Amino acid sequence: MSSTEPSVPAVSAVPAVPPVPPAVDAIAERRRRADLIRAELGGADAVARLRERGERTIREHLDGFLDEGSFDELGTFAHSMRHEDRDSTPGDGKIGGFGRVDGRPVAVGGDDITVKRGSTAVVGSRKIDRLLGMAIDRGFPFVYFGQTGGARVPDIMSAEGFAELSSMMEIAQRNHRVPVATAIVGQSFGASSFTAAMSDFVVQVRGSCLAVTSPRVVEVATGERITFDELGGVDVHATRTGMIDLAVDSDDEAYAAIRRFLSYLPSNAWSPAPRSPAEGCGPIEEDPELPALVPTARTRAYDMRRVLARVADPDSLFELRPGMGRGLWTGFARIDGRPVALMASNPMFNAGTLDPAACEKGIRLLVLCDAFNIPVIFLQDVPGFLVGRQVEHNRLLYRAIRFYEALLLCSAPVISIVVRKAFGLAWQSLGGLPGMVDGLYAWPGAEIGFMDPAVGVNVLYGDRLSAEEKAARAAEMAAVTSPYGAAGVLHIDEIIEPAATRAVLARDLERLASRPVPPLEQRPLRTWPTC
Amino acid sequence: MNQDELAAELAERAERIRTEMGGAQRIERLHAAGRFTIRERIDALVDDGSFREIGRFAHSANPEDRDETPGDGKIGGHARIDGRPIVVYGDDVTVRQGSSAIVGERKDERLVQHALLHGTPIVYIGETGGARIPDILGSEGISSIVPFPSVGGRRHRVPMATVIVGKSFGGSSFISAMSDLSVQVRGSCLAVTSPRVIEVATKEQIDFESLGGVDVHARHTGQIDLAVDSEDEAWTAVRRFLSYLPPNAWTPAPRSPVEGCGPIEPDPSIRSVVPTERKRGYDMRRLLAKLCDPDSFFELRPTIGRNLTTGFARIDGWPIGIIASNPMFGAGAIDGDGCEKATRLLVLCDSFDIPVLFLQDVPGFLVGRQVEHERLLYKAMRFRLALSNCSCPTLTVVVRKAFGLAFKAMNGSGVKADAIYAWPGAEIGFMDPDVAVNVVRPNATGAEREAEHARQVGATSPYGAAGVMKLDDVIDPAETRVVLAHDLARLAGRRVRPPEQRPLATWATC
Repeated sequence: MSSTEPSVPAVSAVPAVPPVPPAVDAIAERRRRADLIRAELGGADAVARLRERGERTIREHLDGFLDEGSFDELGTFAHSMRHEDRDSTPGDGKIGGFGRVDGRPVAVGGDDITVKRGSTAVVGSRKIDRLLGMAIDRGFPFVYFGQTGGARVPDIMSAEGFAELSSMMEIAQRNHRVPVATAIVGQSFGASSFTAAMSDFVVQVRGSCLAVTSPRVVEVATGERITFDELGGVDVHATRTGMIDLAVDSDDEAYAAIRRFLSYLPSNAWSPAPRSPAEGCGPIEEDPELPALVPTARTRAYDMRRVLARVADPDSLFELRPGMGRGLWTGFARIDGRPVALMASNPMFNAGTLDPAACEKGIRLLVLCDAFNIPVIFLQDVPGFLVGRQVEHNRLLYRAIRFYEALLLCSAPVISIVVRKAFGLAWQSLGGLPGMVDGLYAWPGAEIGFMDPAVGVNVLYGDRLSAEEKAARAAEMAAVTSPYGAAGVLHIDEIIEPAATRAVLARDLERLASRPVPPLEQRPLRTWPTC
Repeated sequence: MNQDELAAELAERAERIRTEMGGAQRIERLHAAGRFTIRERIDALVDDGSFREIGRFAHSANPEDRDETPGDGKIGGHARIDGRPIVVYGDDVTVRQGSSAIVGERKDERLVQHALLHGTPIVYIGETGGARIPDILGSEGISSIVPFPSVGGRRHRVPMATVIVGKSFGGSSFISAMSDLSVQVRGSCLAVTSPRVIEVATKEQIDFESLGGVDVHARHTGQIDLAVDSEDEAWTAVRRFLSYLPPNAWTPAPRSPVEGCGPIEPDPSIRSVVPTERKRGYDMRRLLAKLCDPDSFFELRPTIGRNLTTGFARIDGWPIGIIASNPMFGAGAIDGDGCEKATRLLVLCDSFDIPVLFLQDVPGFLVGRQVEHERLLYKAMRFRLALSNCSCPTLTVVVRKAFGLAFKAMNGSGVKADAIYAWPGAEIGFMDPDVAVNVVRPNATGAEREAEHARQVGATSPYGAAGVMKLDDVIDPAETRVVLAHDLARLAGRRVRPPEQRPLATWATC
């Protein structure tokens, strides 16, 4: 396959650095070289052209993302393996190093499109592998700013050159030991797209393109013409493929999103997730306004996000993949300062049913929570899985069962609260597993059972009963879906007052703080794919 | 009663339950429709007379249903296949349509726990209509059942196969998705929700075959491994599948007796199977037939993602997994379905420590809007993650072309291979020289163009990669079977990771 465009030769090569005269101060010479490379990158003209297009250099991306002045570069003096390209390839298309985010160390890297279109060649990919390896060994997150045109031509055209190229084993064998986040900031084909697919969090900036193969190569190979946006623009991925977590309109929003994402996670899988300072957490007390947010009539819609906003600490909700599988809200939040993952039915969309995309969102979040030992809280108001030909043929069975397997294996704490209805396998998939989860609660108006009684009577009796008789049978069925049935045999830990929901969760999380945490190698989902 | 009388009563009870099941009339109706009872199916699957049932006297937890629900809709126990112990269970449609209720589920769970404790494979025969109403209609009922916790938490400690023999919704479909092998018999239906419930809930009308018949799954969804026309074929497939696998993850896979293996010697006829001209199609299965022991190749998912041929086989009696390009279909360009097949096989081979043979003749990944929007990136990277992490041995032979990411994806240099070889006519590089010449010298014509083309062709020669030790060797095609047999023999003494340290063992089956 040819997942790249031919690299555009740098129009203005960096002036060759003259040999060091014997009397010159070596320290000053090092500084001169470094300043030149950092100021001009692949050439002052190339940088100027970027600026004209309103784009940032990779160094500006890194500086914009990191805590101010915290960037320490690695591999400043790296260049191409090809002798004839040494002087025109400062950094060899990849720039990276270390820095801080909110005071915590991170490793960063990215494609430098002023050098051969940010194309991937031997030394540049060695730099990224080195940074990733160090991040994994030392236990801090890795963040990538991706926009490579693909592997570099002609370096990798031959059997010898191609076989020398990095096989990206560092990132492929990460197994969630440290978090990895990727921002797609330009046209990304090949390695930066692969890095995105192997990341825990991907944010894509509007106007960029995320794909395996570029429109140009697609056209050469198949004659098909397609624009960057149609092929892999933010809207394609945010609402259709689900291969990004967040679409944003600007680079600055991308930096903020990654900084926020990292704030919920520990720096590595062997450290606990950071609890935020008590002052911003909001009070832990009864919330008399919460109950009225959920209508008692099971078919009345409402927006679960309003419930979440009151259960979580102020402004702590961070939604992931908001454009996909919207019947299930997924994301991170804090309760009493403790990071948690939330998965909540949202009756506002598709009546809160689980579709294949919702299952995939759930799987992705469970993998992260298991790997970094972050508690998962489910809020259930779910009529079931979506039914019909389309979802069945779209492999609902596989995705629903993968979600269920992930939940059964997840070693992180799980708490589930049924706020209204919970029917069928959906109840179990959202944590309705008596005795197996860390807390299982229901609000007093909850309905728990095999299926919505209104559907159930029609399945059972069809047209054999009159409408009145069916209504009577439906009422009988509805009676046994009361949560007191399950609570009576201790399949539910407690029926709680809706107003106490936040307080119940805060106290559970406090009690979970002293839990024994399984060592990394005993967290079953840590090896699961991120894609 | 004395012990003899008690024993006679036991025998009488057991015989009545065994012969009448959920009612003699129901059995007659099944037979009249050309169908079989679950006990007949189990007998057909397992070694003659080897079935030892447990839970013969189980019945519904509902006092009023006790007498009408012998076995409570599920029948199962211990048996043998090819002399090796297995656990087998299935849905009994003569009892409440094989629906899942509390005691029946308890029996299934008990059997799966036995299998995990004893290290024996599990075979499930599924056709449940779903959960039983009214037993689990309400909050007390449904909360009494956790669906298949041991199946879902199996972690590939033992192999599991499912045969879908009838209309399967809910539980039996879920178990199928949790299995290592799923075989579906023509005429059956595999789905989450039945046409009836779909119609009540959404008014959409759909028949069983269009919703979840064998053709839907074998060609479109990829949610089964094999479609067969008869139950007998299904039993054969399950027995064959299990023959390649160890009974559990802590036992080595069984090597077959030497007599059936065929000779290990150079075979010049192999040279003529693969045309040297890179664009000529041929069926990779012809090469597999020559490399593997006679009749030992067992293909999985043969009608989907056909650009890759996957399955199990033996070389010199050693069981191996196969992931091979097939230039017969789409020129062998890898698509998303191909990636999923390969990933599934790698999960199995890592879990049960079975070596995997990659055969490369691959022009690249499929390109274009459709595959990109069908998430080729995710599927290719999932395959990549599976390969990068699998702990079983892998062997790679480049038989003809190997271009771009596909070379690495198919276990090329720098990835994983315990041994990597190329045939002398192999071409390895970032892109097809015909494309490369247009990319490198887009404006060249005539002799200049030909010179560049010749240069590109020369650069993809396997001797370049072999020259810098990125290939272990360039081998004569005729020697391929011999080379692989020797490698497998050397691998027999390998240090094997304990099951809980095999990275893909916890991966989902679906």
